[in-house]
Amino acid sequence: MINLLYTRLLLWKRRTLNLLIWLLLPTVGTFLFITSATTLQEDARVPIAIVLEEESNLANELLQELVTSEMIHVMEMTEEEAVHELKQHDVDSVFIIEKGFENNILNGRRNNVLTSYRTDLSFAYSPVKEMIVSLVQEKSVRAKAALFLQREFEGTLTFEEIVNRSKQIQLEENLLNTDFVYSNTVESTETPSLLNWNTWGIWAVLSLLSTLFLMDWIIRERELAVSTRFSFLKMTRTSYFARTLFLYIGLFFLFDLISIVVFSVFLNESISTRFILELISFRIMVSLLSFGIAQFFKRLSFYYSFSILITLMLLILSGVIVPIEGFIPKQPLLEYLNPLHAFVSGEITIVWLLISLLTVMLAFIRKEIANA
Amino acid sequence: MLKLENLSKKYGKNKVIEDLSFSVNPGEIIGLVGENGAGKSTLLRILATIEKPNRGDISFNQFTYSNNRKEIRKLIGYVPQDIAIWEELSVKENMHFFEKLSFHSKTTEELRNICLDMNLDKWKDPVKTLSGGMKRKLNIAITLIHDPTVLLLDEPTVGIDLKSKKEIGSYLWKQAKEHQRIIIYTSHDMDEINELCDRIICIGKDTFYEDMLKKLGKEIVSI
Repeated sequence: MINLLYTRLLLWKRRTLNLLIWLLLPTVGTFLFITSATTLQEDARVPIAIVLEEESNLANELLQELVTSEMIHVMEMTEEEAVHELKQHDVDSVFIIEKGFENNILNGRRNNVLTSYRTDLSFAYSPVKEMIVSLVQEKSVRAKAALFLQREFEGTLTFEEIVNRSKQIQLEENLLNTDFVYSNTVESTETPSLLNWNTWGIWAVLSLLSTLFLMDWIIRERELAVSTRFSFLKMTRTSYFARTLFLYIGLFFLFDLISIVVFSVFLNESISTRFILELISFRIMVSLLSFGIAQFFKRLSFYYSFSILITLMLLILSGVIVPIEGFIPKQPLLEYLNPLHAFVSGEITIVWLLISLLTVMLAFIRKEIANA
Repeated sequence: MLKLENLSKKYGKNKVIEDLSFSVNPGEIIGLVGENGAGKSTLLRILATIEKPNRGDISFNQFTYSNNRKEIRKLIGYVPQDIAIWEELSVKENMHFFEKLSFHSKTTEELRNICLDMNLDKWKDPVKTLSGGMKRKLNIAITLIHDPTVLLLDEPTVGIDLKSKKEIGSYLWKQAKEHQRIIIYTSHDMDEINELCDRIICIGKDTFYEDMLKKLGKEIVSI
């Protein structure tokens, strides 16, 4: 194996740049995609200006709720500044939390608690207004309910205690959102987000592409006159190809480890022992599959075109960038046909690993018989 | 001794070689001539164990081709007509590449000496910068790494200058006479064949090569 590694290193040395580009593509590509998409998502939030005319608890609470919203980008400023920004179209609209906001809410008065400015270009004014109004209404109703309960229980509970308990119940019971799940499936505990990028899903698609492109050595070396020399060397061409495949799997896994480090440090991806197993099974499967596919091609241009096509197809089918649930009904057959599905869904790749292994073994047996 | 008996090979209905029999002794150089498609390269490929004959037997010393393919391959050096070297590697790297996968190990000095014996002195130069003649020399040098007893060369001097032809010819003569290797090679260059070979075998139905060699006064075997 050392001799084989030596010969492979001689060839890799001449293609170092090409090799590095393709080996780093999944890591760098995924990292750039995730960071760019997150930045784009941040920039796509609607900018609005909030003017706080009073520094009460309720007013600050409303402000914080708006700040944490994923759809709007809140900037706090004075009314004068806000109007100026609106005229410059730097903000979509302006909302003023009026003086006496808390007092009005606590006393059940919902008139004149907010004032707003908008222009003809304020495209998001209506939905943002509805969102703020619903938050104010929530506070108003909670205050009204608290005051009612306080009267009913003749002061045994304080207003703050009732409000806090109400908020706690809201969090625990998730009263505003109801999820329906099948009885035999696990309920999702993920925080709802506008777009949840599947980091390892994107990585898997790019890995498939880079593995396919790096496996072009099979076609290039098989078609070279050099391959006739293997009849007079201590290992047959089939054996040389099989051992070289193992070297490639090792090299790929080395760069997969780099991906793990980069994603866990910079993208906060959590890594577990089970995940490492999922990754190993995926890596072996995708390498064997690429090796098997390359066996069917004689011309590099056809192989590259097929690689791009199959990657694009699996990119769509896997739904790692564009969610497909809304367009294509969930089909178990499509999931079985997708070699990336198991890994993208957080499972150990078994079925496709066996299929790939069988394909490669058959290809080797066929070649050995032909060369015997 | 390399011995062929009643060897026949056909592709479909096309008979390429029919009832061919001859034997070659150690130290002998045999030239194979004939028109294109006569079966010269096919015969070399059969002798190199890359192809199988439809009929007939071949044996080398105590080994028969049909039962001892692996052992036979260790004794054969086959130089294909296409230059079978890594273009992106240097001469040194090419020699090391094939030495690492060869049946016999050789030191860097021994590998370099094989090249120097053939006047291939551009040890560190990338192959793609070499002349056609130099590439042909390297093509042969790689084949000699495992010290083959039988050297089969398919048009080893095609498309190269006269000086390189002479150098390759003299090297092959030395290999046969000094190291008692059997050399069988094909060529269309009658002067080269006439000068180098102990015996010439004409393959095919066309008598052109036979007549030409008779004029040169060479001993020929027609098949």
